[in-house]
Amino acid sequence: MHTTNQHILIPQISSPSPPGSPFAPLDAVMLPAPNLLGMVPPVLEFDRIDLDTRAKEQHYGQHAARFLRSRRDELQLGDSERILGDWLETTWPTGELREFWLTKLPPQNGRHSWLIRPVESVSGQPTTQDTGRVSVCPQFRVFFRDGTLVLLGFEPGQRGIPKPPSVRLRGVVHLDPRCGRMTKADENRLMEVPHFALSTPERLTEWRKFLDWREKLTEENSKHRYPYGEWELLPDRKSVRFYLRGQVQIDLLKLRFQGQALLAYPPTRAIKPYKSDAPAVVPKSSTRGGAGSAFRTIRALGDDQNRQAGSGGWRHRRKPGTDEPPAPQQETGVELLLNKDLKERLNRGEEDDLFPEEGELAVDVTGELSTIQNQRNGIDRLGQGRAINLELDQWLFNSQRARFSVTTPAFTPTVSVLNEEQIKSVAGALAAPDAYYLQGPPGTGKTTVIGELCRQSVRQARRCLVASQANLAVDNALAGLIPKGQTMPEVRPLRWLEERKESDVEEPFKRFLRKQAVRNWLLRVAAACKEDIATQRSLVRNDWSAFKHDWVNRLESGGSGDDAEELRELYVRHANVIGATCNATGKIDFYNSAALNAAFDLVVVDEVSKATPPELLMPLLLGVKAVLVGDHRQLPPMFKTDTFEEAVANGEFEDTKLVEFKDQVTASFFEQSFLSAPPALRNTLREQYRMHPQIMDVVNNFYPDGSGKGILLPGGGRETRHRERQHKFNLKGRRDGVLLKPGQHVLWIDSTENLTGCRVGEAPKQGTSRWNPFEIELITGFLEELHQERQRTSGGEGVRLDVGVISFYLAQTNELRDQLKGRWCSLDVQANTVDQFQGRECSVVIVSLVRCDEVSGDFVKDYRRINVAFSRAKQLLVIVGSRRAFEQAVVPIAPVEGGEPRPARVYGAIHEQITRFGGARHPHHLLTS
Amino acid sequence: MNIQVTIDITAVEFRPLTSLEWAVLSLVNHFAPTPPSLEEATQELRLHEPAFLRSAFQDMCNAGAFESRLPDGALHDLADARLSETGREILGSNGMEVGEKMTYNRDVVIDWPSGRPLPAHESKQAEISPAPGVSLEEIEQRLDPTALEEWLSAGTSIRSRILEFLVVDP
Repeated sequence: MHTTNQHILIPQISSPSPPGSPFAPLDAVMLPAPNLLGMVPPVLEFDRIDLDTRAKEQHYGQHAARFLRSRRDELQLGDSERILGDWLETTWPTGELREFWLTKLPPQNGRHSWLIRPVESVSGQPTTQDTGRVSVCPQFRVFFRDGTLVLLGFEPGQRGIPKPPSVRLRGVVHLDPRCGRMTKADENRLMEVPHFALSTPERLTEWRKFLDWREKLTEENSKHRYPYGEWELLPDRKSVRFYLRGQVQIDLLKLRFQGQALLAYPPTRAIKPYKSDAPAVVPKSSTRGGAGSAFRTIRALGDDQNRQAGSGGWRHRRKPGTDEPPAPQQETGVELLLNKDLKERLNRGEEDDLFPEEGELAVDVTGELSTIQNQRNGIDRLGQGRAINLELDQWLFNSQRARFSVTTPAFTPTVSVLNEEQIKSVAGALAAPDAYYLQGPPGTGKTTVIGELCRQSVRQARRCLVASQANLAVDNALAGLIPKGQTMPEVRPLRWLEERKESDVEEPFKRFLRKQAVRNWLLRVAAACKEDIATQRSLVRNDWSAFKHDWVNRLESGGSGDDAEELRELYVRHANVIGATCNATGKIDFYNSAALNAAFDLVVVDEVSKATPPELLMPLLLGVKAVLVGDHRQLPPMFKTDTFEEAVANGEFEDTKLVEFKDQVTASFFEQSFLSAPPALRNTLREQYRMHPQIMDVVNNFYPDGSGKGILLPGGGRETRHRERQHKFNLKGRRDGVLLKPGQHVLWIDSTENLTGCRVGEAPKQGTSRWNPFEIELITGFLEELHQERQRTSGGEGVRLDVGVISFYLAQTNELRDQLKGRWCSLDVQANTVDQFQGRECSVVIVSLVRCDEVSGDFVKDYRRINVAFSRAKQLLVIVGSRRAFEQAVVPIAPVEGGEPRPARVYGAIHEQITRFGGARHPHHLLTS
Repeated sequence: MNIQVTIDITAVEFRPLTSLEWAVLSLVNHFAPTPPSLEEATQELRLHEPAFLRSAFQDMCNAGAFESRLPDGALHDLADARLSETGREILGSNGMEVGEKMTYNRDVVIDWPSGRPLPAHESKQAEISPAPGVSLEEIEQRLDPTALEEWLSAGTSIRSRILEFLVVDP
């Protein structure tokens, strides 16, 4: 890496705003750093500056010392027990003239405080802000008392020159005077410094209103309580069934409980939404389970029905001394999967005490409410000037205010697979002082860019936080850190997760958890040393070879066996790429962690368009600079398992909220930021590597440029993608032997009419959700053909083929899941809603469109949802849907450059494309009468 | 044949060396009299972050494993160090004693042919034979001390090193 410039671009308001931009018009002028025109903080001269650091033991000492230790080499500090005392005495020695950056904070409870940190040019530290090589530095919160500035808090800050209203404070330092001699006049001058203020406080008021509304909705949700008279464990002991008293509205119950964690309360117990003290918890089986994972079935029993004795239950509430089952009664059975804690209790033989014998089921909203509270705290922290980057609010609300470098420093990629767009993105992100925006359509290698960016930052001794709204995105990003075949022991990843949730992490990603990360890292250290031995690499002297052999043997044999435990704390402290969800970063356990210094040089947020702005804020508060990665043409933030638009359609709240909270409930916040950012601070990846070119051609309908042409390109060329994405299936089907040929990668199976030519209809709605049994029959038929083909070609041996079955409708998804799972030994079929598939990919994807009537005002017309569904496929995309219902449907799609959405007959266009590829199919290809 | 005996055991908690502690001790030993600096060792061992070895070095200094090899007695870096007698012992035994000496009185079921104590769950079901006509000293000689240490540590997170044991009741 080399740097060539000493300039920085400062935006100035001058020109009209670009079309569609919600922001003030801005231009950029080049100015030499550090003399930022009109932006240089004024100097405050004092005779003396009295600093009282004696409160460090009680208040900030541990936090500050941990920070200094973690940055000891960067700050060139010695190794002393009293590292903080040494740093203070060296940085601010008594009797010496010193300079500070001083920022006045907004008063809290009538008290005034300031942040101070050393001016780097005085201490000889290079100013790095102008090259994007920004980082964090020690910074203290001070109060004025008895003629001294009393240090009472430690909050890491951003190195470099701050903007006004910060000031440059200059004076002769007196450290720890028993009685300070700064005067009342000095105090007055400090008080006169304008305090830090948000540039757009009204935006945060909007955010707070949104959170208030979410909180109210959540609390309402917790008030729905369903009395149960009995519960029973089901024979496989993985689930429990609660029998709800009387008849309940099944659809409403599903709507309220689907995908939610539930609590079982004793009867008449008051619910305290913020503090769950319910004796039993029945959460989703897994935090990454599908939308229906909490439920297996909800079934109503009528007046004339009764449960059968011996069905696995009846052990509870049986009349003493008799085997008689309870009398028949109207009830509803709700079956739920047990979570890990409950399974463990079962294994300990505590099966009788898992839940109150009778009681009430209700949604557990404690997690949701504490998340909302964390987001509110994040907003407060931003308003109080507690973001590491004090400029955060400037660019967060107006990406045109983000600073950028005139030139982009060159860098040497750590891998050879990066394409030009990816290299440009990494270079741009490395050079950006505040923020960089990256749009990554499906399969274009966002994870590759994130990995390279983190590795480059690590090479510069920077610490990175990789955050996302979704656990899977965090795991995927960490998994992309160490390229295949490389050791890279300098990269020390860590997945930050509450210990009780670690069992939810999928197996390939467990290696980043606290327990496994040390061992994994030491093995990479060993592998790197082995390479050194093989290449006879020795940096200083030649006699290391024998020792390295012993070292490698020791590490490979597992050391003492205690390494993982003994070194865990040390590893966590020095982990340099930390992965966490946005919500996790908003918890005080994270940002004030004793184990981890939550001050990062770089914060990468992936799938940013799925996060609400308050969610996004939490990780951003912790970093000097941010790289926001997302695609506003994929799914927006979700409400439970639906988008907010769908929740309105389900009647969960009124549609005026969609208008009122547009920035919060759609991807428009990221979209606006991306489209308005200076060109140097944004990029769109266009080369996709996931899909066969035929599938890409279909997906390109959702990425039109101004002329309507799709922007996605086949990575490595069309031939390469074609060659690497072959499915090789030859499905003969039922009638004329051409269901699928090896060269065909997109099919549309028309579900308009059945085999007798009669128009097919949807089944009666399940609540507000739709389902279509005929499409399920077609999908089952197709999968049966696929299975037979797999059996024929591989004899049932080998890895199961991964197949994703996607529907936009929950009822259809539930039916598909029930009917398809585990049915074919050669296929690994996962049926789920679109949002559960975002971030994933499958060799074969089948999308069930469900609707049979003319499509209008429905969320099948949301192009982001269709885009995500269609773009999960690598080798084969099968659309099962009524051509007649969809071909005339008009879907509004905005050009990628921004601007108003244009109506497009996108399904019709896709059907025409598929017909050209020879992929249009009729039910008779699959079914026999 | 299993026999049951009562043993007085004097033991101390024992902590095995971590790989990093082993590295700093072994480096000083291997490269004596001029060990590498922490910086050089960090680079060569591909650890990249000096804090890892520095922490291990500090822990071993605190354990008395190093003494200065310099005339001024400075011991700021691995390059300043040589192994002390304690350091040699720690390296030789791949760990160090921590905490106070503890004395235990335990009933132990021993597989007589091998001299190995049976784990607790096996002891409960084991058929106990009358003690053979041998002296306490013979039983002590037959007992495998390493196996006895494992037996003492089994089921706990604490590893014990037996300093002395005495069979008091055959």
